[in-house]
Amino acid sequence: MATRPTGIKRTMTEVADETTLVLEGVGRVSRQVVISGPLSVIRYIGDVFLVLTEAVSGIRETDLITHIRQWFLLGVQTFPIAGTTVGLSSAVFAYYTVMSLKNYGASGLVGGIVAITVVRETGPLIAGIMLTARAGSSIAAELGAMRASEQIDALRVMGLSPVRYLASSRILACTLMLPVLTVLSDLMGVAAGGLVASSNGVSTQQYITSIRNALQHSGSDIFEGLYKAMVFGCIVGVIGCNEGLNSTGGAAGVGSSTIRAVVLSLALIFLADLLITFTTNGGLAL
Amino acid sequence: MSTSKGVSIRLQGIGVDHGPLSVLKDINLTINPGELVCVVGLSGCGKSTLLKCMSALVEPTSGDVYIDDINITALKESQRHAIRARMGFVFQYAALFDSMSVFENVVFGIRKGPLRSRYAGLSRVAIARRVTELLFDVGLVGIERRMPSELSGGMRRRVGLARALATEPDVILYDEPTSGLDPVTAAAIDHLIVETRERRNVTSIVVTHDMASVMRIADRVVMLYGGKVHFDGSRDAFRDSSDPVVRQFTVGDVTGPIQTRMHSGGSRSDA
Repeated sequence: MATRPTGIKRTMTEVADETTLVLEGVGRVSRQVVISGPLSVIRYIGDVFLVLTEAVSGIRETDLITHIRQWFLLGVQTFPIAGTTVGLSSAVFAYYTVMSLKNYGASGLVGGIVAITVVRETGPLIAGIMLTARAGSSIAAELGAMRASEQIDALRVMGLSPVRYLASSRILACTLMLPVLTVLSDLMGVAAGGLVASSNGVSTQQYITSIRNALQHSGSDIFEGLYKAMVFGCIVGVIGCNEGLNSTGGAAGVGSSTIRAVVLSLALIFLADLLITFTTNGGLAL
Repeated sequence: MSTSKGVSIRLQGIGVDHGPLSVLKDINLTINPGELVCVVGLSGCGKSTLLKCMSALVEPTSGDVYIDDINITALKESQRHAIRARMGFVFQYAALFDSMSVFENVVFGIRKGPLRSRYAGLSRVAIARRVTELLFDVGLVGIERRMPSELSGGMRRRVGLARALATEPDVILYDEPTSGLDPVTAAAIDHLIVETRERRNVTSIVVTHDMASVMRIADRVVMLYGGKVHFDGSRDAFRDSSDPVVRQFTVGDVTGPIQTRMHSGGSRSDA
């Protein structure tokens, strides 16, 4: 093919071909964004609700020993890391709060502020994040590996529902154990805050009195925190199970589904946190 | 062990697509009760997919699967459990539950499956004896407490077979039961397959590309090629076939109508 001398413009056909290619690309991307994207989101939400409803109906079919094993594996074993992280973040929070309040001579209020913040927000949130990191990833990886090695197919061909048999106990364990973890982590957080406060001139008596006064006036904070924890736990369990049971592509697929389970659970936990906070406290006060 | 009346399986116009690739195209096949059918073909030709269609583990893109005249493709997943409970499936790599011991794997269907009420009257001792018998039947003794990770490939397959037999199925689907095994173990597994069929009259479908196995066990051979049934006939007819594709496959010749180069997407070009 002869080369075109420099300076000669492209023919109309070439321009038309390039324009067609660009428009086709734009069309493909638009279809992906406008149609395929929302459709896959709707399909995913549908799948998650199907897993949740089937898992709930299968709770009674699972024996108590299996439930207790999952409570231990997913709940009890998560406590050390959840308690430690809530404690550490509460210590930092207490430090900054004491430093700020000192300027106004109100450092005695630190106990109440730390308690309400931990009970309402950081306790359930950090415990939920830790449950995602430890239990959510473990559920997705375990079920994904079972799928890759055809153990899920083996269950199905034996006439058993993998969701009922495998997901029910895991989702229940996450939903029930996260509130328990949250209470224990809250105690760790309040205690760590107390240590920092006392090392910055706040007496233990002042700290405890401040907590008592704060929680007396808003006792529902504790229930809000526990409610959040239950929702977060349910999210971690359902997303972990759904990703694991639908994992495809062998070992690499297990890795991908584990990543998806963690990322999606975290995103949904933060979204749920926002929604619960606004709905239980009367919405945005704009 | 009770005798099964066997189960008939009918595939009608089965097609399976994986993305743009058609794995199976318009498969029509009837398997009679008590028959032992070997499904053969090249690697990646859709043999295992066909087997999974029969147990509704894979949804066909088109067509229907009838088990004793019940169209299982039209059933909901929850309605398929009772049909599947009549099936045993021996997976290629056994698919044993790795968190359970051999005993727990074999007894799983009895204790947890839809047919558990049938065995509800059995005492613990009777169940333990049954598991021991099943393991003995597949040539394994004294391994009840061992975990799957402690077993060799051949032992795992045998435990998988014992697990499949535990609920006395009417049909057993074998997915490459002898691949990767030494000739002696492979022959022993073949012997078990034939013996199981003869003792209980179960319908047996064996997916394999091990020609020695086919010649040992098959009543009938179905060969898949290009996503379709290329040959369907008796073992002797298969062995003596003059069809060039069948000849090349049975002899294992590189030259012939079967293309040995793989195209992107995993399919071979059909001659």
